[in-house]
Amino acid sequence: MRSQFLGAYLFRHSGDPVAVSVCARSISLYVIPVGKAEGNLLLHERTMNSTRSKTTRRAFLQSAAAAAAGLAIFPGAAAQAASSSATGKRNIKLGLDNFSVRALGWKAGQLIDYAASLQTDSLFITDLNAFEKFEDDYLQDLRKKAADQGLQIQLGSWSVCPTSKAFKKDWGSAEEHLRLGIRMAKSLGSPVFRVVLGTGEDRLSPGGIEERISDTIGVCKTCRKDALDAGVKIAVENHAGDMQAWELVMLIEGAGKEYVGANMDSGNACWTFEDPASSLEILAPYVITTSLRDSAVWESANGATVQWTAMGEGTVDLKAYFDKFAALCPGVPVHIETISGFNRELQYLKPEFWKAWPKARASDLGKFIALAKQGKPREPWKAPAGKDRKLADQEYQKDQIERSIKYCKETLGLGLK
Amino acid sequence: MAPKLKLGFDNYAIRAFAWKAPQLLEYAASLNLDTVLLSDPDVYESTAEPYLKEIKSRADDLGVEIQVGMLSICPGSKMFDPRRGTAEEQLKLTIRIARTLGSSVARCVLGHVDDRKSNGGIEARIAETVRVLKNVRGNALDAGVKIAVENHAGDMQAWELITLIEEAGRDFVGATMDSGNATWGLEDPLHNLELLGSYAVTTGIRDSTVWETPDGGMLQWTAMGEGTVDWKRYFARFADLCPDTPVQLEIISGRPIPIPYLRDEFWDPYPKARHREFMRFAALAKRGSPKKPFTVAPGADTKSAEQEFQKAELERSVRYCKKVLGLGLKPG
Repeated sequence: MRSQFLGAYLFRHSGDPVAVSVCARSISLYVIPVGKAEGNLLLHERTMNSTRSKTTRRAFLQSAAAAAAGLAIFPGAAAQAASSSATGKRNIKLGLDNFSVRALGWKAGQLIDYAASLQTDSLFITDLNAFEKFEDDYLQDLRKKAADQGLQIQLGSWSVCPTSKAFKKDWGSAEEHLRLGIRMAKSLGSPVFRVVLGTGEDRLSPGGIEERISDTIGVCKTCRKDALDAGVKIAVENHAGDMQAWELVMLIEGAGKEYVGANMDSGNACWTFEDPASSLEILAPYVITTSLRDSAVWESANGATVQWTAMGEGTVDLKAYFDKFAALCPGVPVHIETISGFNRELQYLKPEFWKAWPKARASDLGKFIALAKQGKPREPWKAPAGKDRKLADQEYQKDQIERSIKYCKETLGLGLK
Repeated sequence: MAPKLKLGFDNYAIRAFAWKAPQLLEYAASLNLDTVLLSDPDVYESTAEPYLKEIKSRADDLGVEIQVGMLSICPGSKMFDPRRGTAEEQLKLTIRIARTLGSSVARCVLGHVDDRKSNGGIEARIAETVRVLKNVRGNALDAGVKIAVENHAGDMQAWELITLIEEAGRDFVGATMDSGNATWGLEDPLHNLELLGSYAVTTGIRDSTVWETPDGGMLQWTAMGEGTVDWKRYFARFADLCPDTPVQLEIISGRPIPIPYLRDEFWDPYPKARHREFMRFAALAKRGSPKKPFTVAPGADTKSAEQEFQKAELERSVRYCKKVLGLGLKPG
C-alpha cells in the first residue's frame, strides 16, 4: 500500500539537506509546518500518474513568514539567517558551470584556476572531456587543488537515457557511464553527479517523453546501490526542452528520491514554456544542484521567443527568484551557466506544436505568457565583423559569465567570498 | 453538398420578454425557424399533460420542433435550486415534459465556473452529476429521451464534459454543445466542436470575441457573424460531425466577461486544463479586438431597451445564419 503523501517540508540543517515527508502512515522528525494545506509552501499533490505543485506565488508569500519562523527551530540556521540579513549576503554558494566557457576548451586544472580567479565557491564541471584522465589519483589531485583555493567541485556529464537521441556511447552503456560518473564524483568530493535525459527531440520519439523517463528510471535504479554506497546523488537536469518540472519530479519519484534529485536549470525552464519561478516552486523539494541563467522572453508571431542572457539582463525578476530560492533550497549552490546570444521561438500558437506536449498544462503556459508579456524583442549576438570567430566566442562567453558573477555577488548577494 | 441543418433559438436569447411557451412558438414560426429550445422550465404555465399536449399540438401546426431543457442537475453546484425538488425529481419531470412535447432531448447543466473553485473542484461536481444521471437512466431510456448536458457558463471544458458523458453512459446522455461557453472555458469553439461534435444532440450557438487585456483576456459574446469565429468552417465541420443536430441560437450579447489568465490565482481551479486547448484560446484572443458592452441609454426604460436589444441581436443572427451560412430547412 502506498502511503498517502500529504506534504513535504524541506530544510537543511548544518548544510545537509533534510527533506521531511509527511505521510498518512508516518511523520518524520523535524517537521516544520510552513502554512495551511492549501497555501502550503511545499505542498505537492501526487497520484500514480501525476505530480502537481499546488504552490502559488500567493501561497509562497503567505508561507514565507511562516518559513522564516521555522528557522527558529534550528538555532544555527536562525543565526545564519540573521547574519545574512545584516550583511545583505544570502549565504548561498556561487559558482560556474564550465559550459559557460565552452569555447575556451579548458581542462579541469584551468577551470579551477579560472573559478578561483572569479572568487567563486563552487565549480560545476559538467563535461567528462574536461578531465585528462579518469583515475582516482588524478581526480584527488584536482580535488586538493580546488580545496586549496577554497573551491568545491561538482561533477556532471551527459545523457543516461539509452533510448534518447542525445545518448552517446563514449563512456560505454548508460549504466557504465553512470557508474563511472558516480565513482569520479566520489573521488572529486562532489556530492552530486549531474546527468540529463536528452533534449526536446525526445518528446517526439516513439512512446514520447514518458517512455524516455521510464528508460532513465530503469538505468538509475540499476545504479542505485552504487550511488548510495558512494554517498553521491544523481542530479537529473531539466535539459534542452526535454522535460517540464513536473515531469522531472515524476522521474525522480519514480527512481527514488533518496539517491536521485534535480539539477535545476532556469534557462531550460523557458524552453519548456515555464516561468522559471514556477519551475523553482515545483522542483524545490528535489533540487540538489543548479545551472542557472537569465532569460529574455517576449511574445512573437507564433508564440514567444527566448534568448538566454547574462544574469540581470533578462526578463526574470531575479531578486524575487533568489528570495524564493533562499527560502526553498537552502544549502544548494548556485552555478551560473550562461549560454547567451541566440534566439529560439517557441511556436505554441501553432496547432502542431502541442503534439510534443500532450499532457502539458495550460497553467504553465499561462504563467509563461505572463512573463513573455514583460519582455521586448532582442537581436541575437553576432561576432564583430572581421574578428576570428573562435576568439570572438571565447571573449563573448568570458564576458557573459564574468558579468553574471559580478551581478550575482554585488546585486543578488550570492556567494560566500 | 452539405446536409441542411435545422435552425432555431434557445428561449434564453430573448429572456427579457419572459414569454411563455405559446408566445415563443409563435415567435419562432414568425422567423421561419425549424425548432425552439425551451431551456427554462418557467416557460410552462402548467406541467400537466393536457396543457403540454396543447403546446405540442400548436407546435405541430406551426411546423416548429420543440426541444426541452432545465438548469442544474448537480446537487453540489452553486447553481442548483433545491426548491424545485431533488436533482432526480427535476430531471424526471423534464424527461416527462420532453416526451410529451416530442423532444428527443432534455437539456440540463452541471453549474457555473464558480463550481470549479468548490470543495473537490469540478471533478467532484462531475461525479455528483454522473450519480444523478445514472439514477434516472431507466426513465430516459423508457421515454426515448437523451439527457443533453451542456458545457455551461465556464463549468467544464469539452474534454471534461466528455468524461462526464462517458462515465454516465453514452446510450442515454449526450451533449448540449455551447460555442459561446466554449470560450468561457478557455477553448476555441472550433476545437470544442471537434471534441464534442459527435456527442452533440442539441446546441447553444453564438459568436464570441475575445481580446487581450493586461490581466489576460476579455470575452464578449456577439450576434452571429460579428465575432471572431469562422462560422463557415465551423458549420462545414458541424455538418460532418452532427448533421442531425439542430443549431439553436442562444445569443447573449453585450456582457464582458474577464478571463484574467495572466494572474497566478486564475489557474487554481484549472489544475488539469491542457495546453492544447489553451494555446488555441490564446491565439483567438490575439485576433480579437475590444467590443463595447451593452448599456441602456440614459433615461430609457431598462426593460424595453433590453427587449429591443435582445430581439435585434437574435433576428440579425437568424438572418445571417440563413442568408450567409445557409442554415435552416425553411426559406428565409
